[in-house]
Amino acid sequence: MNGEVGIRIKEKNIYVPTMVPILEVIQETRDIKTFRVQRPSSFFYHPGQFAEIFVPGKGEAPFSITSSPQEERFLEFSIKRIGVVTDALHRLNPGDSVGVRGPYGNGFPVSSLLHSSLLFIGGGIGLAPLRSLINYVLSPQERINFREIILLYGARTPQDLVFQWELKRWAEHRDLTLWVTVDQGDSSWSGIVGLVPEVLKKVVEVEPIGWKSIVCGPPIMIKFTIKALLEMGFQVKDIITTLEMRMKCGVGKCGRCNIGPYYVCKDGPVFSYQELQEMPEEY
Amino acid sequence: MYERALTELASKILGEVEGIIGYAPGSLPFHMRPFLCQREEDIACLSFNHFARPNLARYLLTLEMRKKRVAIVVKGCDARTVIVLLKEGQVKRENLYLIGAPCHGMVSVSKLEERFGVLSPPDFVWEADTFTWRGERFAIRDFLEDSCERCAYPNPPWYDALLGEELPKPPVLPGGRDYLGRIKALPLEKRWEFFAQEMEKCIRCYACRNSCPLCYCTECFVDQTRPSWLSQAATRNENLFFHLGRSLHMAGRCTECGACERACPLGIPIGLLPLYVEELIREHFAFEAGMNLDTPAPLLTYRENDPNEFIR
Amino acid sequence: MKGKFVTHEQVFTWMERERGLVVITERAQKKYHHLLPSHLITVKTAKELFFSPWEAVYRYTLQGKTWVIEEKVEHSSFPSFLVLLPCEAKAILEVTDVNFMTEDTPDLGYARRRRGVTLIIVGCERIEQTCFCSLVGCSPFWRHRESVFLFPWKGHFYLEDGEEKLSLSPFEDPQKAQAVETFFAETICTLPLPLPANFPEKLYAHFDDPLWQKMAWHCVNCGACTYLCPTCYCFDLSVDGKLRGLTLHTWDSCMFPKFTLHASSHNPRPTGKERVRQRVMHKFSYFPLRNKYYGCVGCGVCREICPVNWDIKEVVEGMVRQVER
Ligand SMILES: Cc1cc2nc3c(=O)[nH]c(=O)nc-3n(C[C@H](O)[C@H](O)[C@H](O)COP(=O)(O)OP(=O)(O)OC[C@H]3O[C@@H](n4cnc5c(N)ncnc54)[C@H](O)[C@@H]3O)c2cc1C
Ligand code: SF4
Ligand code: SF4
Ligand code: SF4
Ligand code: SF4
Ligand code: SF4
Ligand code: FES
Repeated sequence: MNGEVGIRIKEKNIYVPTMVPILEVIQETRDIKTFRVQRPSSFFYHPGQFAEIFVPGKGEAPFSITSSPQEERFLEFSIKRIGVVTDALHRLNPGDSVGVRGPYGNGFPVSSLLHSSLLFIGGGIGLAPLRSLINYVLSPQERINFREIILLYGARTPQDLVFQWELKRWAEHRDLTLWVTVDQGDSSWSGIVGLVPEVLKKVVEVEPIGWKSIVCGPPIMIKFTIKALLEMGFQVKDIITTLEMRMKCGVGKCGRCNIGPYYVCKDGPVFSYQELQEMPEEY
Repeated sequence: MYERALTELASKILGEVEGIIGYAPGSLPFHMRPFLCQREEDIACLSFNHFARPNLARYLLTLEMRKKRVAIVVKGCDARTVIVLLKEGQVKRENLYLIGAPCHGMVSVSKLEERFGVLSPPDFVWEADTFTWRGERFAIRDFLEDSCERCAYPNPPWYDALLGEELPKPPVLPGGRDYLGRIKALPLEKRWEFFAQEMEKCIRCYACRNSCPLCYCTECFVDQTRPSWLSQAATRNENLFFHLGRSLHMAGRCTECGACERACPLGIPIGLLPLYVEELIREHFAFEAGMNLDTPAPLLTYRENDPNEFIR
Repeated sequence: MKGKFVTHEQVFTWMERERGLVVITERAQKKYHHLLPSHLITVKTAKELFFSPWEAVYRYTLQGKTWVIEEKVEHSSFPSFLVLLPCEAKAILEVTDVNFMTEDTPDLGYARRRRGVTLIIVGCERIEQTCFCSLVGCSPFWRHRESVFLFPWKGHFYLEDGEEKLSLSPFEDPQKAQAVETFFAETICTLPLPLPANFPEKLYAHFDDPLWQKMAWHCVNCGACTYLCPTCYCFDLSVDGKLRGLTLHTWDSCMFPKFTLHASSHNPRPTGKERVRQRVMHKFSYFPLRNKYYGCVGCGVCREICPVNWDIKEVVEGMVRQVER
């Protein structure tokens, strides 16, 4: 909030965004772009949290923060073009500004992940929230707090893989084992072909004790991946996922994102599979 | 009213149809509610009276009903709506069984309250055209809903079975009782004042739209976002835009059943707008919606030799 | 707290004098038009005074190449007193306040307007056909320590105003006050019993009950009941204007399909069944599970205005039978 208004009002209006410039735009796939924007002052967040992005004249929408909290200067969002706000965002260039308000949501339960091995499983744009946590745990300060780290990432086609530059970096990172798969390969693709849950059972051989799995992606992928993880012997409390609901306020007030008595914007979007099992199936 | 005829007919056709969309007594006095009769034991619940206000044609459009062959109880205006739905290809003739209910008009609870204060059901004894209140006799026509006051077609123009006998065509009402006529008689600025005031009240709850069987678009223009036609703010002008838009979408289709304005929780006489559009349609095209299955609707018709150049 | 007494005239003149500062709900006005001034400003629902059908949160303007955001600040004078019925007051104090005035993230627009207003609850001499307040922890004599309470009693008003918010100089009459209390207690005993203990938990377990489908059938999914419900607080944030415009905070309803529609066209509540269930569950299970109070105050407004006589009391009683089976 700018200083002048601050003096007059003193209290903060939670719905008013801070306008920040876009620093960089990266075309990830045909319909996904990553936006690097200036990090507003006193915007402190955890991996797995999200923010509401405001495009003046168009509206607001929630997006996962995909950058690691250790990045001090900027925030990153990877955004798929699908409707009014996302369409408008895709037309913006570095130098244009957008509004940001947040951070919202609970984020990943980092403290309960400490000293575990982590199996990240992402599908499509679902890698966005995972990326924040992956880079956080890979950072030199945090690395010693976690054991083995595996990432299995899948997309429909090789053209739909996001963060290709990041994937290259991760592939070379000695602390992370990376598996990338596509549902349908093409002539350019020499990697694995297959649906995530199937590939998971084939390539990832872990003894689930001491492991936590963090799954994020389209609902159908989440459903079958969780099934596969349970077959592999994962405990329901060791499987963590994020949910998506239509959102507006982001702070548990507008009433639209609830599943049973839980507001996904406030009590989520991160839930363990154990918690999900106790919730009504309405998402 | 019609209980005997209704139960006899229902027992006969249930089986042949998968359900009967009719009315049953509501949870409050002076209220009837839509009721789906699907089992023998439901038949006794079916009834009809001066409070069978909702237009049931709306329920033909639910996913569940579209797939079934159903019977439906229709008043004059409701039958006309069904005919419009048939013409527009929303329902199939072979899936329908129309039970016509010649209609003596729907009674307005607020008009009763205005006259009798807090209403107590045992005070009233109802007959077709009259009722008594604590022994005193009154004419039903003095307590009709506004839309029923001007009704010209109490008998369904088309039906598979009729409850009771067709009613004589109602007398043309003296001008003073016709509420559209009353508004039209006002000078222009008074008319604007009237609508401005009413539009100010509207909270855009869409009870009017959702109660109308002909407002069946999967996405109403007010909900569209690409482009977005109107603001979410329920201001006078935006509300007026919604209602004018809706009235135009009703042109040549509205059967003047009044379901929209009876649904309004704020008592806004919102039926006036579509009613006026229908008057214009009558005047310019000599057409009334839902009177038969054959005449095509004017605004859905294209003719090479249309006298209006802008069409060609 | 022991109540005192004031004359009808004292209350009447006080309201006349404070006229510009006193707002009354339509239902309270209708009920007490014979005792209270007739020219008070009225509101249809109590909530709309604090949470209006639409309001601007901020203005955005493109100036040159930069967007400027200006928060909308209200300068107009705001009323200080709201006269309302017990159920309407409970809806504010135990539902909308709870939702909007959270400590960590208060809704500033609501909080600013709400803070300056004292509620004057006028108890109900008569229970309407549609009322069912006693089922959900309310009553015709429901009071709250932060609010003023009035009740017409034998030519006077019984008054509870511990903080002396209404400078009325009431007189004491312990014996009469005792009689009022006794009357309240005795009347409450004759009212229908509250919903069974742990009903919110039990109802939650019936999320998948086939009865929902049947109950939802005749509801046309409009917004009439939720918009006029004194407790419903759902809203939307939307924009109005391209190069300059307003971000709006407007009423919204869980009865509308678009309420939960994702951009991908997936909808977690695709049909009337899920939406009707949400409305009932939110009021009778989710909200009380989270906040201990029912999200319905039994005012009966929705029963009265529903165009198709979809009746929440009847449905809840049906669910009570279902969970107790
Ligand atoms: C916690 C969370 C994190 C998300 N993270 C990402 C991300 O990192 N990258 C990404 O591409 N997408 C993400 N999404 C989905 C993204 O919010 C929607 O794609 C976006 O809202 C579509 O907005 P629109 O205006 O383009 O679409 P429209 O269809 O025009 O939607 C209109 C409005 O409805 C709301 N809305 C519609 N769909 C959704 C939805 N699925 N979720 C929430 N609100 C919705 C928004 O307020 C939106 O402005 C996330 C959603 C949530 C809930
Ligand atoms: S029913 Fe009444 S208040 Fe609701 S949108 Fe229609 S006219 Fe407006
Ligand atoms: S219960 Fe009645 S008022 Fe509420 S949405 Fe359904 S039809 Fe409309
Ligand atoms: S009775 Fe109806 S209107 Fe009143 S609080 Fe309950 S749900 Fe809301
Ligand atoms: S019943 Fe529906 S509209 Fe009302 S507060 Fe609950 S979720 Fe919101
Ligand atoms: S529900 Fe009826 S009796 Fe109870 S407080 Fe409200 S108005 Fe009074
Ligand atoms: S987004 Fe408003 S309550 Fe969750």
